Amino acid sequence: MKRLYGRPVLLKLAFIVTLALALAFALRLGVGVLYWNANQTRPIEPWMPIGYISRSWDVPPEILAQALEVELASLPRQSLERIAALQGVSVTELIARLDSAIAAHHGTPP
Amino acid sequence: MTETFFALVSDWGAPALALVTFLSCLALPVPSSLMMLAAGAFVAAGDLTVAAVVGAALGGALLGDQAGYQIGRLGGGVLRARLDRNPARARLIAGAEARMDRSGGVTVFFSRWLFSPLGPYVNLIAGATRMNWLRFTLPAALGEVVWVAVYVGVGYAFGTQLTMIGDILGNLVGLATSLALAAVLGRALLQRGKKGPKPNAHQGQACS
Repeated sequence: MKRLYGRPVLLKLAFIVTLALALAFALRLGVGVLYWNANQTRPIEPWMPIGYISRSWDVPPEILAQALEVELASLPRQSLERIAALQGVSVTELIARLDSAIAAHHGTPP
Repeated sequence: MTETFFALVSDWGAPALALVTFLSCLALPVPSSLMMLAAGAFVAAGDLTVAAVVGAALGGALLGDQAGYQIGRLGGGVLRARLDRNPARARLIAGAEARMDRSGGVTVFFSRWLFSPLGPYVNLIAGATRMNWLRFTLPAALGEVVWVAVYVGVGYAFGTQLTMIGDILGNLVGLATSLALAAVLGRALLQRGKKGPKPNAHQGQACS
């Protein structure tokens, strides 16, 4: 029974751990794919810059800039968080303004 | 946390990307893959240029690989001894090193993108085992090109679902890496089973 305490046991343990990890990743992958299919819409988040929001929500950047009360050219690729800090307002308020601008553009209630 | 790194790309652009891909090649836990996805999405949105993104990501990664290789080379024995103190890591490294002897270039290539969590350790091992510089650098560069192209490309194409696609790719790489490790360990177990227990664990280890 000497082998029980030797390297082969560690090897087996490592093998089992990697298999368990593989299973966990496979499950998470499956859940991710299912979730992706079920949820195509995502909320606007503080890290997003205007160009990204414009493309993701299919709204011209000018409309978003107007809602944020900023000059489009003065804010190349800056996150909402940064814009909020510059303006001294909260990110939540900016997101709320964008949400209504996007809804108005698509002609749906916010 | 992921969002913080997305914001970094958003606010600092290509230089942030170069720094992060460089650091990730040195085993620092930074989500460089996610940041490349974000950069790809920002290229699609017109917020960054493709040349800046690819240049920065590739430049950082290539420099990081060389830095890791040189650290491995200089640190050599000392580093190896330190890493080997953790048995799990020692086993991992020993396995990778054995593979390196047989098929180093292939290991270097695939550890850039498909098994990317192993990449930084492969850099160190390649240096520590004094793998030929050109035989390391060519597959490393080729692998980094694939890594950058895949992530920036996927970010460009599926960028509107950045967080979700990031999770999916992360899990995919995790699955591929753990299966690869399981395969290496499983093969070692099978070989052991055939040979029976070794009388001396250190037998046959001819370190140069």
